[in-house]
Amino acid sequence: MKRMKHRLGATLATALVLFPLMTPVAQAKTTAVSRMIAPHAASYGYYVETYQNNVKANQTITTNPSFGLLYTFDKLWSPTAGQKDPDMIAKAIAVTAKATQTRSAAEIKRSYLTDRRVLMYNSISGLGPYAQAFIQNAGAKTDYYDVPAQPQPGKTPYSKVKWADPESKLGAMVQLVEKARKYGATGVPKHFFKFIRPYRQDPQHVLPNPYLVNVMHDAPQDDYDFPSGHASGAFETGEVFAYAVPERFQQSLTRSSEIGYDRLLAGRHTPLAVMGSRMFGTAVTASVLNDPTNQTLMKQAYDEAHSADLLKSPLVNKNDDDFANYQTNQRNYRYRMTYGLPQIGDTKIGPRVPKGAEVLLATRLPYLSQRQRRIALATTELPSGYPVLDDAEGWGRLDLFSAANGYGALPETTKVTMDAARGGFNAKDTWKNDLTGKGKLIKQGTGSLTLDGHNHFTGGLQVNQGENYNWVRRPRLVKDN
Amino acid sequence: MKVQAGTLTTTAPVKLAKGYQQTQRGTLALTVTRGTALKIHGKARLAGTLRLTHVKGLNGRHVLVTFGSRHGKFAHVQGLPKGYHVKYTAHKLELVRR
Repeated sequence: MKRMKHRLGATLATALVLFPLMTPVAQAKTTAVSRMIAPHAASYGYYVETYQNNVKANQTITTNPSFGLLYTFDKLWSPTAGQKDPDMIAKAIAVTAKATQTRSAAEIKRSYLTDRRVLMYNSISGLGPYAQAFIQNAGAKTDYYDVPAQPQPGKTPYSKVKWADPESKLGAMVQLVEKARKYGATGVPKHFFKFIRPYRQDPQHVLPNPYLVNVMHDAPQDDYDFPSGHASGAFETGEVFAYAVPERFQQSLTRSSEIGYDRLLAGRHTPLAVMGSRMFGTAVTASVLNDPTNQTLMKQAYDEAHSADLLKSPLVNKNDDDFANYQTNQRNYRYRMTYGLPQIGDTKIGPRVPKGAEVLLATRLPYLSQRQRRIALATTELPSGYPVLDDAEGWGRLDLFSAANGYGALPETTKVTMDAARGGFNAKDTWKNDLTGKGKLIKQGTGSLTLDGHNHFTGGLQVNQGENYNWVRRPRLVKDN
Repeated sequence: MKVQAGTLTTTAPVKLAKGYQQTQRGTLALTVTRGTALKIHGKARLAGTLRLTHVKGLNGRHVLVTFGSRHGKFAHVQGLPKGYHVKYTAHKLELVRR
């Protein structure tokens, strides 16, 4: 607290020197920003403090955080009242139907593999050039590499092969993923809502993956849609990977969202189910990364990833990357946040940043303070009003892909201090968002920051120190000072 | 915009709406392409270093920076192409062949 006061004092002192006439405004903004990023409690409390209550014995929205979080689905569907928003449910099923009707051979294969493999294995491809090194050094295994000659027989179980070895050279990464998976079960909300799978609700239009026709036909009747277990696992695993390997932050998240999309392509899930899973998986991962008992393991995972066992491994193959194109990743990730479904709720709710969510950016934006990471989350998140995503805390609205690009707006004077000697993103980073807002950006420290967006922030830019400060894009006009 | 110390690099032309201020320890690094690298609306307070990079295709005279008014000059200019010097006029900073 003392440190925060000190920092606030420094910020205000700077503002005083620079804008002697604007001091009251600067103070008012600080308060508004603090309000903007203040956490909001949900029915279950704060997810990061209650995540271990997601166990089968807890069956209510106040005792089980996974249920409380995903209870947003109750606005659309109730197991007793049925469809509360038939139009939205029809739209969601239509998205799945179209995906299954227009899927390519490559998508059929990918969604088949995603379906069959142990969930966590699916996320490895997000590591791209480092995937082979991960497979080798984490002892990662699967028994599914290709589509079968014939559709699988009904009742063929999911793969049981152990996805990776917690005692391997990358054991801390594996263990951290498994910590997230431990409280990542979706059973309680799934069996409360009992929302039927799209291929059973609309068998004429939602076409099962041709290799899974029998398996899906024979799936038990209590095998439900909302939320998706695969997609939850995808975000839990992908976000742990993003933490340990922030160099692949956006690619790992894009792969997580692709796994969600694979569930649509297979005909298994509605977009509502995988959107709920993103919200849920993100809450679970942030909780695990906030847990004081995991801090040593997290450091080990990060260090392992940055050793010769992964990022510096001779097995690194720069050409092995399904997620090499930034624009494609961004387009896909953004689309899959909402799948084009319209806003139906209040569209004017201010930003919501869940308690503890800033930990998800700790390695990607290491030079920002926790408060600044919360502002990065607040200024990049989705607007309110989308189906399923308006939980009380704000997990559904987080756009981690965009937040990895730094702030989305500068709501106040912002000092960015980068110490190049610490290496990685501390030495060199790029903010790709189109920065807006009335704040001033003050760049300090020896690291280099590139602003690569079409920037329109009006508070000005001040370079106090640094090897380099690039302004590489072509803003029409920098309305500055 | 203010550069107290450190370097501001522009690799594409930039227009500044409300002036520019650079102090002694600051560096402005401009990529010299066909157009004017930096257009400053308002006052330019200049000091410190100007660094020119990727200079090519000059034709005797090239406008680097424009401004509404100016106070001070860059103390050091790095990366000058052979045979050129910088020339300040009322609203321009130009590269001019000797």
